Amino acid sequence: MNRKKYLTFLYSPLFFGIFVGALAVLAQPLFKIQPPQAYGICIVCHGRDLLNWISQKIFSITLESAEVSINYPLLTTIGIISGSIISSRLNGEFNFIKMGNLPAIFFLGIAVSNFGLLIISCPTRLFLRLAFGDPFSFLAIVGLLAGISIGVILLKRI
Amino acid sequence: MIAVFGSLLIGLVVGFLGQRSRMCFIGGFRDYLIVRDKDLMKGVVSFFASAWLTIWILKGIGSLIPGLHTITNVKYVTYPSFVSSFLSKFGIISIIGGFGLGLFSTLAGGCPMRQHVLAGQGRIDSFVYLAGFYTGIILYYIITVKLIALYI
Repeated sequence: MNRKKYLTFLYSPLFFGIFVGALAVLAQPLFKIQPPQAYGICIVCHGRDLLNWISQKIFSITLESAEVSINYPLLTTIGIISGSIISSRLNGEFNFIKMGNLPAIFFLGIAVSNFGLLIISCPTRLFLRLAFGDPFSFLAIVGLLAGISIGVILLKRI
Repeated sequence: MIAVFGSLLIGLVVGFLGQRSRMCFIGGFRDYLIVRDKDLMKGVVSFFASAWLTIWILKGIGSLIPGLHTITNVKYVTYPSFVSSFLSKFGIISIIGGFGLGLFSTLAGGCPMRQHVLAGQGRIDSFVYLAGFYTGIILYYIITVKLIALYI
């Protein structure tokens, strides 16, 4: 196998799934991201824990937090943004683009984080929870598929 | 303390690979439904399969992973069996939450992870999305928690 073929596989969604799926589970024994189960990668929850930690330190207001991050924040969201900046700088893909309707996207962001916190998972953690055998995540994924189908119909209309 | 650096490391890896592979969990199903493109769908399925296999191996080695009972940090849930979870209140909330998550993420153009990656790439839309996302977390604890308390 030559080098280019190897890199194509390394940067494919298939490899992302295999590597990150194993990493998300191994985060529990290796990095002790532990007390709630299936907590290795969750964008909504880790973002909330970070926000909770900041608001505790600055305004001394407690929102809600998982047991892992009562004393220390989880920096996953910051890590993702930094990793993406490094990657896009290295490959010359970093540029400022504006595409859609900004006020609408702002409200979509509010809606997504509210529905995400309702079930305490982002789509990433839903599949992680399903792998752990959580019956509620199965129900949520059924709802997720219904939501995506209706979203696709709306996108095609527009 | 190890959790802080561990989560930062996981974030860096996910951000780097996510930027290269354009991975998106919502996009997997969306692309399949619109243009029958199975590329991102492979990522979603392999994520699930890899996580399941790793859990299976870890359980085989020993008790590195404890039982399911503390899976969601939702205080009002006691763990029912698979069948009775369909009828419980949190089961109904799960369906509603999943539906909203799917619908609004599709309209926004990607799952929260993809939007973080795009923000790192310099997409202005995603900066605005993230501003709404973190505002939404604060609004959840001001407004939505009280609405759910009425139902529970």
